[in-house]
Amino acid sequence: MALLRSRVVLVALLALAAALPARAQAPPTEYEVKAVFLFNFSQFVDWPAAAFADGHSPLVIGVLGSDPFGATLDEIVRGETVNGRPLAVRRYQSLDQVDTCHILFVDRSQEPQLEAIVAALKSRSVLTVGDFDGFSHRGGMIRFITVGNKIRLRINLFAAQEAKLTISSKLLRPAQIVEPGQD
Amino acid sequence: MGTIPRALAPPALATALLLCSSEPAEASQDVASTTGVLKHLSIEQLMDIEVTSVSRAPETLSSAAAAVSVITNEDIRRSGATTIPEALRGVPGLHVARRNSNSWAVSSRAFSSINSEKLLVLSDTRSIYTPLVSGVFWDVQDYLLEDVERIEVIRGPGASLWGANAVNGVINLTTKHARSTQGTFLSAAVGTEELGSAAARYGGQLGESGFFRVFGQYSERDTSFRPGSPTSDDWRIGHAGFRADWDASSSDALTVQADVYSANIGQFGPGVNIIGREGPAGDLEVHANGGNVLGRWRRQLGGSSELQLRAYYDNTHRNDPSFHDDLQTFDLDLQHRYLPSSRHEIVWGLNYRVTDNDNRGKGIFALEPEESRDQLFGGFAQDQVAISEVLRLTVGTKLEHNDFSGFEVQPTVRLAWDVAPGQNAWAAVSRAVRVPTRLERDIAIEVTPPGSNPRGVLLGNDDFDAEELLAYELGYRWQPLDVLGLDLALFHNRYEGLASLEFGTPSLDPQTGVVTVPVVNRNLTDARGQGAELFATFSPRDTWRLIASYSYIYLDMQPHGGDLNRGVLLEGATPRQQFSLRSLLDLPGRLQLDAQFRYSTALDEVPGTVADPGIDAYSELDLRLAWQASQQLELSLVGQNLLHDHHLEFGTPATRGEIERSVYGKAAWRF
Repeated sequence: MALLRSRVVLVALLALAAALPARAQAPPTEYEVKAVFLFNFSQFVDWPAAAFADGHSPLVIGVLGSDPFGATLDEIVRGETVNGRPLAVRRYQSLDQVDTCHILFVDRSQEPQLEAIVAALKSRSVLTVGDFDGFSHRGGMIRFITVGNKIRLRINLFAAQEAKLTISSKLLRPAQIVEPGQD
Repeated sequence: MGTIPRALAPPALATALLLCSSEPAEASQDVASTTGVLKHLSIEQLMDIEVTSVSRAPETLSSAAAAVSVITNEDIRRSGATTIPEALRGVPGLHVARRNSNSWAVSSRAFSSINSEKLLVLSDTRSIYTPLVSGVFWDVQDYLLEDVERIEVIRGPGASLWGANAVNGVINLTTKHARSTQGTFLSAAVGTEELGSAAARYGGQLGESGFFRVFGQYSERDTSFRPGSPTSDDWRIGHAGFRADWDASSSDALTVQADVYSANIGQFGPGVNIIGREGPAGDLEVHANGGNVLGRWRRQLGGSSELQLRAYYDNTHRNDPSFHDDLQTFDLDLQHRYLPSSRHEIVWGLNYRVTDNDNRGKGIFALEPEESRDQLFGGFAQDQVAISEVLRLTVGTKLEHNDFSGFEVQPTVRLAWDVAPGQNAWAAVSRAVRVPTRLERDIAIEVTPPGSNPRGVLLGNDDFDAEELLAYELGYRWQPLDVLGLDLALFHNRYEGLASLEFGTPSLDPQTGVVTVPVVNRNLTDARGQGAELFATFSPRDTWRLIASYSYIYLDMQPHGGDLNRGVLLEGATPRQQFSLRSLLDLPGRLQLDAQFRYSTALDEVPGTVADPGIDAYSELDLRLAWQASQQLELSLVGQNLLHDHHLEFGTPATRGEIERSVYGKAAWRF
């Protein structure tokens, strides 16, 4: 009897769902917002001139490890320029594949190797970005933190300065800053 | 019982969706339009954007239309728990009670018993529910807790996805991907109850895109306390295994994993007790061992479609002083998730399982026949529809056939409503069943001493049917502040045809003059259960988190027959109220100080054959102090059950021991 009742409800609700002419605009996903942040970083960080081959070579946003962005990141940078430079997206499976790169998103799959990644990129003026626990304390530069359903930034300013990167106050002001030695 | 990691399915949905699919769900032009707007926002405005789902964090659950809790690796580590049941304490709606050193009652939404028969437990999608007794032998569920990524607990029915026996809840344990366990991990612990344990794990790479880990662990635990009687429930378990994961191509992922374990588990008394019959005596010890191997292949078919094939083989042996049980299981599972349009998300799947059981009694316990092969096949389908911007409807059902009760239909309808930013309400109506066990169908034992007249026999019943639940649930989640989250769930459960033992028709053997009185399993008890579960998290500072949970449960059993098994006692077997408060505090100097307080009201009665005064209300406290001495070394000191020398939690007088205050110290190295 109980089963029969719930079946009737189920059929009624199915009919209702079919009848509704909806096309909901979903709120952005976590990685859509994070991808936009990555794009913004290209505008609020200054790289030393040596980081680029010439005045027209692209600013490269890299993703190391599994790519959580899918096509989103490519869509965002398509047709965009920063100081006359085009933007490019590259994906790397492992650290040794990382060639010329200016912003590197380190996927959480690389978590165990973070120290090695930080050490290898130290002298190369690469802005490292990640979203796993301990990222900024372990030498990563910008960490996405999720508070409630919102995304905040935590910046390891010391690590960025060591890599000769200058981060604009527009980015620093709303972010949480990690002091060297602080845990 | 289907056992799919319904990774993509609604109760599990929020966390898992992003785990498996990195592709955005929307078509690319939608991506462009969404992100096009976002690009013009300032950093501050971007930080104010609410995202739909956030992977691998508890807040991902903020929109699921089900009562879901997630215990993360960090939660486990900071609880100081060394076993899975202990790690489950503090989840609202769950009752975790330790009966003695090596056995626990773990139940969701009442019906507490050692078997926890209405709760389905999965380990990396492999069912660890034992069909012999419909329950979990927690004593052999050993894990290197360091490698457990999370434990997801769904309270209420999950049967439309997971299948039979997911009646009052599903516990879904997931171990870490091998790439997250690279390097060497060593740990050793010594304590007063946790006598000694050691674990080692090594993780490395297999070529360009493969990762593996191998691990081993051994633990030895002390007896519980029994005033005036000898205790013999000390136990030891060794466990080894490996896991390998490959990203075979950009769209294929493969996982292979295997485990073996061996344990010696002390008993107070025989596992099977029959009044008036003599059971095994002396120093009783269970020898248990087993192993399993599991393979999984995931293929991304474009951005909006994913296929998963999973198979496992599992083998367990349990040599109990009362019986010898051998169980082999083979399980094959296919599931497909796709997004036919931006409004619909469809998941469907097929499952087949075959179990070979061989159970030989040693004297008083017997199944007839001793060997049995049982099969189960089924399928499920579910559609989640975005009715509007703020309303999501989920409809789905499982249809499966088992050799005990035939076809079972287990549908669900769930509705989620985003009331306002930070507020979400949901409602669900579901049907779930618990299918009969081999014990209920095949048991054949004499319950009177040999030579008695009349003679009583307990017999299995081929006509014993599934127990049915119709569950009505409501939930509300509210995040009034960034640092404060509240989660309320209410339920009303109606059970029909619960197991009851009843007298059958007596028969007279004219040759001998012996009258045989059969006792059989029937479905003559109904019940109503209702309750409320409240969960709150509060983070006053970045370095301090408080987690509180409160559960209220009321169960009313309505026997319509003789109820010889006294199922009515289940009413008093779960505490009416439970409360727990956890504090996780990071201190300067790389110190962590964590505390967990819990309170449980009394158990009026404990299921058993004789009247028992029950178990008193109790409060307990665990503390953990940890010091990250260096990048590689963590030292911790854990005190458990600190408020009393010893206290009782569960069980009949013959089977229970008191849980003692204990302390252990642990060192863990990672390099």
